[in-house]
Amino acid sequence: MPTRREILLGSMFGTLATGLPAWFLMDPRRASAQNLACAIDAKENLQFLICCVNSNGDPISNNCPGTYDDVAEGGDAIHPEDTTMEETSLTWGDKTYKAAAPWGTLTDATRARTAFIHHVTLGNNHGDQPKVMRLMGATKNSEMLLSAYAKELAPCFGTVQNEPIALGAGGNASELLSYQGRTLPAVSPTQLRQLLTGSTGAPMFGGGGGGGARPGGTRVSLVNLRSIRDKYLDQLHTLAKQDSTGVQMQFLDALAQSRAQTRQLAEQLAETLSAIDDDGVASQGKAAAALIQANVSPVLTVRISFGGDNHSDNSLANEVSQHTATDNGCAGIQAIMDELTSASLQDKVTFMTFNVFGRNLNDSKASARSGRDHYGNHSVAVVIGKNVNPGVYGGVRAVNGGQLGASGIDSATGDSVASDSDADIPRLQTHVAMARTVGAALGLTPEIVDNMFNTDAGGKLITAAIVGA
Amino acid sequence: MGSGDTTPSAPIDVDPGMVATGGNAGANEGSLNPGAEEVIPFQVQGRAAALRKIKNLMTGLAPTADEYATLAAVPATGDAAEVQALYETMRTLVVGWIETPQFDSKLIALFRNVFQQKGFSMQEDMKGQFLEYGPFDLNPTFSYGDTAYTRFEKNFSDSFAHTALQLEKTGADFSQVLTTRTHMLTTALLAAYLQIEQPNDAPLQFSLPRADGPTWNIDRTRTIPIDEAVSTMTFDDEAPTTGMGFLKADAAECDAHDYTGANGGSALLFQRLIGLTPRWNYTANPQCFEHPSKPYFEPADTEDWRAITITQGAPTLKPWDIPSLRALKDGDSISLNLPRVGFYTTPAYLALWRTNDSNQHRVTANQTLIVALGQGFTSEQALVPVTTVGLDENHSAADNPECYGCHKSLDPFRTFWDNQFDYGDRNDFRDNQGTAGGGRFGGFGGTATKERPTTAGGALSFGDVNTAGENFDALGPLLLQVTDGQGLPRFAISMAQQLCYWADSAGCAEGDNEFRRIAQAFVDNQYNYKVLVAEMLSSPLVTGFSATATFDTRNVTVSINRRDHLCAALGNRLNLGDVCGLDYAFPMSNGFGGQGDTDTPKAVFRIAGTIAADAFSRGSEVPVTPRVPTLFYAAGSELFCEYVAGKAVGTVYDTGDVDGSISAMVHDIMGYTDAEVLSDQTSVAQSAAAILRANYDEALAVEGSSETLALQSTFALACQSPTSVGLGI
Repeated sequence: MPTRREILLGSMFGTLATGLPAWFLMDPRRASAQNLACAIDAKENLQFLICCVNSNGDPISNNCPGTYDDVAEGGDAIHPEDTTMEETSLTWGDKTYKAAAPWGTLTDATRARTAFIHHVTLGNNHGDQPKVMRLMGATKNSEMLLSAYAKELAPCFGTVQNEPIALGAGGNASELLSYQGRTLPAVSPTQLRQLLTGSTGAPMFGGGGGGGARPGGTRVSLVNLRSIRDKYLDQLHTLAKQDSTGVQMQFLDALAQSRAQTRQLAEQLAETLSAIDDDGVASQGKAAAALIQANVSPVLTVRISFGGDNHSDNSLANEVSQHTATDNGCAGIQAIMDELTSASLQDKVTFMTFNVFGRNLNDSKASARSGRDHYGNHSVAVVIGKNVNPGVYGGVRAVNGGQLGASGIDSATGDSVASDSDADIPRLQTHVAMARTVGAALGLTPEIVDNMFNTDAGGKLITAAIVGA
Repeated sequence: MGSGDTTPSAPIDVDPGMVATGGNAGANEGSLNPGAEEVIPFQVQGRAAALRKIKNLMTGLAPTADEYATLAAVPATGDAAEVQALYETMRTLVVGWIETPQFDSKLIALFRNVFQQKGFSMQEDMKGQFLEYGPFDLNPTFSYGDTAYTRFEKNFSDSFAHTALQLEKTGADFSQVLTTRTHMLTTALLAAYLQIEQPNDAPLQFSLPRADGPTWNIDRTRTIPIDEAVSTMTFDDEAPTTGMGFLKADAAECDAHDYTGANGGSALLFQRLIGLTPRWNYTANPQCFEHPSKPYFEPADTEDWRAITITQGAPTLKPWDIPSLRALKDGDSISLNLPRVGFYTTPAYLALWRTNDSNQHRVTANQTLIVALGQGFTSEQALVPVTTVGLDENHSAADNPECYGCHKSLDPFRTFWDNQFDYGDRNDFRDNQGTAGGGRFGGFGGTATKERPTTAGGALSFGDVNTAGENFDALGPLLLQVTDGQGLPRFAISMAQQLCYWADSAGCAEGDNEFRRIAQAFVDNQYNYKVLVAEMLSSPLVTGFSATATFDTRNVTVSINRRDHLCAALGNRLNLGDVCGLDYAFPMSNGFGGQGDTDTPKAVFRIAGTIAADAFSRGSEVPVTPRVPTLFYAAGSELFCEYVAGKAVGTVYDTGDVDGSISAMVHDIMGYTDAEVLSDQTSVAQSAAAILRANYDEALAVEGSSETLALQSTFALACQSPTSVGLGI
């Protein structure tokens, strides 16, 4: 006889016949008018988020719309001379902007919901990635922006966990995520596959020769005996809880819940995960789509390269090769979108990029096309989603002795503003404005988004970038 | 009380003072609970849970009945006397565990993190020091024979950890980690240190000036011992036991060739020594492709750790002279041109914090501060530096205060490195680059050439120190002078804080009187690391036996048993050694498939890799110590326990004695002792054994099961139990 908890866990990844989210029945104390309302709204407006995080500070911001003479003012940004990066006019919904040719890799459907928000990051070292994720101190309680989003989205979606998941961080500790101050481990797509599909089919874990044959030749393995172990593991948890303290009790509950979640995911994701065979961008997309389908976490990170840490990049060759790669750069973004489409998630997920910094647009090294250095004065968030109006928001202007950098922004039009004194979003607040705008793109209300930031954080929602705002 | 004895086995003599229960949270309060997690009112932690946690941390072993009885015998008076007695009892236990060999292994893992010596890619991050297409850059085929290549990576990471361990074991002044020129090295590492100082003779330098290194050749017809090979410079091409890479030697095309000129040199010779015979000739269409060979470096060459003092001067030994390097004894010296001082000049550290012509050793300098002092440079540094030599003019403009605030102090400090290492962290500077400029090391050091500086040294302007030092030997003493403004050296604070994170998976409040007492005891005992361990691991900060100011800001923590701890626990308790395969590195391992001798450890290595581990992050003063049991931890630890079950049953546990095996699992894996009872006087061990037995019986009853499988499943259950995968339960 299944327990109430098991029944509820069994329906964790959807809604019950009552129409109420499973989490509501499991833990009604979590429910408030606000998050119950957001759970109902979730079907229409709220978005999961896949974010590309790259502490290399790739030159993704150097050849995208907004850096060519149709938009940029005050000087020419330097672009690679390779013909594969040729300046090209592309349509973005009903607008036309110039960009390097690889941006044409994005399909019409993708470009019709793609915004380029030019902003500062104020970080200038690779290790600043965690600080940049905290908007250099602008988020409340120093929470990482992605975790702040996740915290608000999770109760609405009723996801298995509130915490975001880093799928692309690999061994780069700067790209690890923290949630409420706790650093979260990264999980690669192949690790995810192995973890969640268990050791089925791997004799090394099947009992070391001790297993017998089932009728019909099926071998009994330790995996087959998990359900029995689960029952007795519950008893060991009960034993450990006796005389335990509050923090011990919390840990034991979290451990038991994680185990139950693992069982559910193994069943639900088996088919999708079996298609993952490497840790590349497409596999990250598959893994992200699978985790969203299974309602595991509202926010996931991936890693796409656009040229790497290209200080010493003669002829900007790395910048060219990674922009034009078939499995990275612009094609990498489209691969993510394709995975979402094939999983029918294209209207439920927003994609964004959020790197530690951009790279110099027109200093002497860039002008010589011998490489690009770190540049916290400019980066770009590529934001793609159902709630996004396509276009270029903000832009680049001469901001420091002829150096191009992110300009101020007019929040109503999204236009780049020449003088900070004329901009209601000064250039040094454009990173917060970008974060507020992405929050709106995720379907979060202005009140919820406001609550993510310190009162003096500044920045404003760029209303022009959001459908219906 | 007196100062600490310096003999390895001597008891630690330190005045513990009274255990503090008050004080201010202090300067780092914000980082203790950055997510504003709800702080639960303090509850005294159970003695058995604390005992399991601390013994596991230190040795990976489970508590014995005697150890529990000792702690349980402290009268529960509920007053300061009980707190003091518990502290003293726990301290006695901790002092005993310090002397175990298992603790040495634990310290190696800890010191790799504390001194930031791990996490680099030998293939990529060594290209500066060892040159592109040099010894460890195995592009394009990534072929190598046997295990020498992977052992090198582990050696690099472990070297300074062994150096620090020697200081700990001998009770020496641990602040020597900032100053020592004596390093624990193996034959393999000695060769590597010498190789860095070879001329720039790697192939494919294109337009760059390239030195011609030694000429050597290959004779495939016979086995050539290393002594003969070194004297004749003729090396064999014996097949390895296991080869990685798809290209094999072809007999006709690969017969004897002279590796000379652009096809020769020390860099390619070093590849031969580690198990890769380079292609000949070095063109896109060679007569003989590179292929795996039996390495001349034997496993023993990566295990013969010795204390070698590195003096500064021209090298007199050659990296390929393995017999001479093997002959070096503990306490011997070698000379090298590059200064090798403290933790911050090791090849591992310089690979991890690789610099370039833009960074100019700023990362190297800042990470050094973070390790040594627990703080890095910020733009809020108010100090006016004693010198601006080295200050980057691009960042010194008055209208750029955010940059200038850091650079004004960081840049004079970075010159300690920048004056003696080029951008590849070699000793070439312009000497081997000619005057044409252009990229070097394939651009990995940047495009700018760097003149050889005419002066050494730099300046430290940080905290309450603002002094120039004339060379690297002055750097450590300067770091040691920095205090927190209240007389406590930042070095002591940093080392104590690192230990706190290791034990608690969370920081201690620097203003907490108890934390300050511990750090002061470390100072007062001439930086005897054993004293620091003894004080911290028996402190209420770790035991949770009484409240301290730290717990006003964060909870007593219960944590997952992270990778190194879980692996050590199962390895040590089952006498299975390196059960996770952590002693190997599999840098190019992606898959889980295969059933061969090397496939299984690779698979386990990958599974273990999914279990959260201790780490550190560039620019961060806070170590990475995940403590939450995420679903990924639950899944990873389950897979791992199932794997270990296959190794344990039939060796450690016997299907002929199921009850005896279960009893051993309860004691050794779950960490329950027979004397441990609940408040209702129920025996925890007996209750746990009954649960395990019921699992065994039910598993055995499954059609097609077996006694072996049922006992393996029972082991997996014990292994996944809360007291096995949790610290503080």
